[in-house]
Amino acid sequence: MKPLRLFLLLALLGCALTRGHAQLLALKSNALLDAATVPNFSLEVITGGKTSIVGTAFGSKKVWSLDAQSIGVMSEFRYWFNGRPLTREFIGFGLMAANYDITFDGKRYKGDGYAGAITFGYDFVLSPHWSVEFHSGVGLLYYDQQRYYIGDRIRDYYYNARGFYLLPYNIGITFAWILR
Amino acid sequence: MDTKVKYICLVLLCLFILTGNNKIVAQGTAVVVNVFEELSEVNGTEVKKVQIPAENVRIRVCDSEVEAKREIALYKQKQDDGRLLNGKNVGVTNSEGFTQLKNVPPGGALIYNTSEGTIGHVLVSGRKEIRIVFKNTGSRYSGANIVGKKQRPKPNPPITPEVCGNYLSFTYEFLISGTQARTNGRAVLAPIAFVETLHDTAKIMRPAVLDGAEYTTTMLRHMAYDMNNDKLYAYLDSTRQMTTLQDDIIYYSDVLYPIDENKIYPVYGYLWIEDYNGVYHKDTVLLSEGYFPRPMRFLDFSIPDVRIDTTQFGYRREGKAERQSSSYSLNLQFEVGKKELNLNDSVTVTLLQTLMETLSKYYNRDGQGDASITGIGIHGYASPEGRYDGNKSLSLERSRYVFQYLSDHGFSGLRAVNIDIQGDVIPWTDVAEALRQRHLDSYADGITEIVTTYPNSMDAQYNKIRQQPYFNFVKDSILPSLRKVDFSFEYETYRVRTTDEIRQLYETREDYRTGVACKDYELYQLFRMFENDHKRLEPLAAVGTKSFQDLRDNRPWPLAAYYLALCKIDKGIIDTTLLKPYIDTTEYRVSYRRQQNGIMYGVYNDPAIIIAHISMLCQGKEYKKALEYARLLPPDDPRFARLIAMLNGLNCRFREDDIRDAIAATSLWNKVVVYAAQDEEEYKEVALALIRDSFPLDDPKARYLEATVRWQLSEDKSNTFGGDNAAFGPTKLRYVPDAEYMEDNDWDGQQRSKETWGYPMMVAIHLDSTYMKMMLRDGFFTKKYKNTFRNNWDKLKSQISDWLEQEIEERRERLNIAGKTDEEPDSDDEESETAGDDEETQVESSNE
Repeated sequence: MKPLRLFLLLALLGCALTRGHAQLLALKSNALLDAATVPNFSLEVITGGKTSIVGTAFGSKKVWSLDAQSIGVMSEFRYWFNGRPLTREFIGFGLMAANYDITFDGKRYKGDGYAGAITFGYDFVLSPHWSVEFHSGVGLLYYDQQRYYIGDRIRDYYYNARGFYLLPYNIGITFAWILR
Repeated sequence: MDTKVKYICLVLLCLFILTGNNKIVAQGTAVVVNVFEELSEVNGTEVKKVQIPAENVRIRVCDSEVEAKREIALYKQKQDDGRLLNGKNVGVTNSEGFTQLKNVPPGGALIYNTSEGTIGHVLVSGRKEIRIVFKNTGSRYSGANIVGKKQRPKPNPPITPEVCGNYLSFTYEFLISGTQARTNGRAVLAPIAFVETLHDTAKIMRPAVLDGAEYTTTMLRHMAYDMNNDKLYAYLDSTRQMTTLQDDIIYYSDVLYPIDENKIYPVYGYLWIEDYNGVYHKDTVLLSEGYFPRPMRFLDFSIPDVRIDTTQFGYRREGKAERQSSSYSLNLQFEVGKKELNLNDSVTVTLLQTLMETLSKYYNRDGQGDASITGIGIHGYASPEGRYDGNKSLSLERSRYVFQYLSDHGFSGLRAVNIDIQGDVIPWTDVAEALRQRHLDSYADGITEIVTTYPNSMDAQYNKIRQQPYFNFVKDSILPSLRKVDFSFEYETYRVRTTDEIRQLYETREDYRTGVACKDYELYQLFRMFENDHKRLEPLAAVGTKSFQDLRDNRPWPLAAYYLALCKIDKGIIDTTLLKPYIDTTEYRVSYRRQQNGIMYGVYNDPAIIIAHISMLCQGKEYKKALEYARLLPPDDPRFARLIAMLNGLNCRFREDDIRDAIAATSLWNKVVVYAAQDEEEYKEVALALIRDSFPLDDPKARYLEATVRWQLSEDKSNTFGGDNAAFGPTKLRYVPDAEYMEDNDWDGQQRSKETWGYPMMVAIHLDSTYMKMMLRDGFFTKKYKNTFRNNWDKLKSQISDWLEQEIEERRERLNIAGKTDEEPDSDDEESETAGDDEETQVESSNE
């Protein structure tokens, strides 16, 4: 988990270094992930006239009936085309780090994943404090995991699979509550 | 239920509660609506109002006034999708003008819409029975072009502002096309008013801002939920939002104050529409050409003359007895060689009588009076011709004669006074000086030379001078005035100066004429003397205001301030601060003494002072302020009631029935003016009839007003800009249709007569060329009219004189046939001048 901790630290440092703008904060949650029983929580900080930074944390014990434990963080830098953050179209450049332990089809996958991604989305303004975003993206995931059949005896420190996946990233319908 | 499903439902429910705009709608009630149409009936020269039940009027219920206004705007732009006519909760009045509506919110509004196109709204305000009275004037909204969706927007036409005194009031409905608008946009209209040209800015007027719905919401976030951070928030129309579905209207109003009625004030609007990224549309529009109509321009307005009661407490001043000293002098002429006065000479006798009268005022024979003579100087003079010794004694004898004469005629006590009796011979140098004053320098030089040659002997000087050729002239013209006695005396008084004394001091002393040396009671007497002579009064009043305070209040002497105000009004100087300390606008009481904590102060709200203050305000066209002060006047005095009506009329309230009628009752001319100013055609037609029948055809003011009314009544303003400009000839004015024709074609006959709106203007300008400038700056007339008029003027001005003569002759014939003369007005409704014998002061001349 060392790389994960390092990544988390870097992400938080990146947020801290960015200048806060207009003191607008938004608390968000991706309803699709919530529906998939993956609780998640995001915090978006407006950093400029057209930019913002989002930090997300998520975790799960099960995804529906699937035995999938995970914990992860995401950060994303967003550029809002319309000139006002949390309004209309945006493009995001994100990073993700997660630790997972998934049991599926007789196999167990346990390891860490790191991704870099690009996201597109549209924000609908519902009211002065509420917005809903529709977003999706694509990302390149690097995984480093143990992959073995259930019942096998393994040693915890032996990571026997690593590689890259091109995956859909950050698909969701997110509701945002904007704080003062 | 599966836990996952439960979980999802819970989340969705929470979201719904948090995001929904739950509006609690008030329960509506049933409301009865009665609708009446107000019509005008013309009866001779009177117009009466009647109300008849209006049938088939649609009434639509709205939740709020905001919604009502929006629906009306959409309806006018034909974009309401028929909601106004056939939507939910629309009632239609029956033949008795009655309908009942259900579910009407107590705080809502009702829109009424007639088949002729009259539309408006009223507030419910919790009422269960609502009476609507409307005048069928068609659309109440003007200035906005109706633009279809997705079409190129038409430009907003310039509007004509309204003037009330020196307030210019602009009201716009500025159209923004739906193709320009965005929900994430903000439209800003920033008008700037100029004076005459674009080089001189009169005022940067308050902007108008209209936001799209999304812009409003995101702006709130952008301003950290405090819209006071938005510098344009104060100008935002929060009742409306820009949408792309239809054309939007920016409602705007502002006032330009103060203005000069003789100038024009064009207004340009700088429009920009921006979204979050920046401005995407910019434009500059002419909102107003700057001309404004002045419907009450010709009102014969006068302010009643109310004189101040100078004997009232706080105004009068009474002197105190005090010791004062002064002097008096007079000279008496003698004949050549005589030591006595010629008592047959009327001038001498008059002078003696004057002297004795003056002396007697101060002559205190028994020492008990309040005046005494403290010294007398009698200086006799003899002219220098003849022997010096003889002349010297003659001069002394003359002095003694005068003294003896006075002693013998009742002033024997003068012997006890300190008397200085002298006698001298006038030197020839004085004679030379007298000659120089008459520009006879050669004679004077001759005498001066002789005197220089014989400096010590007057006899020698005389012998030489009598040989000169000019001696006879000198003897006859100069020397007689040198044979005199100068009588002067000093006196002391211990009493208040009399009016005559004060008058005399005023006549003889410069410091009294300027008021500098006057005491307050002396000024008081001088005020009363020169009440109607403002040239003499002004310096005295100025000193009185500066130097003397009110007896019981910390303010200048009221009487002095009042007279100073009158003098300034005469000169056209406006100083509205002068009389303010004497008027209490918080108390509607007349001429009362203010009391506070048991202490009585000075007099406030004297009608004379209020009237003077109003005069000053009216000179500056401050009719609104003048009206506020006029309300302090006694309400039961018909003169003041008339004044208030006039001021209300000048404050643009002339359309109200009671004010219109009150102004019309003052005089026939004012009736014409106020009727011509009304919006309804019936009144204009009465005004036109009165002008034609009751005023001379060669009165330029009447013809100008006639042209204005005809132009407003004319329905066919456009075709005369082509080849046929019969509107500028008198032919149609002479058109007298026969009775049968009129019965069948009543409209046509009258209409054709009305169309001749150019000819009366030509007559007015022909009679008085200053009306040309007035017309060119008159907001009643469009640019097209002015251009057309100028073209026709050049072509036709040589014929106007003949046409006018013909017109006058025809009218005379017509009146003769009718058994009347030109001096008799046709109208039976001619009003006499205002009642009351008070002289009315013409404060304002209404013509330019």
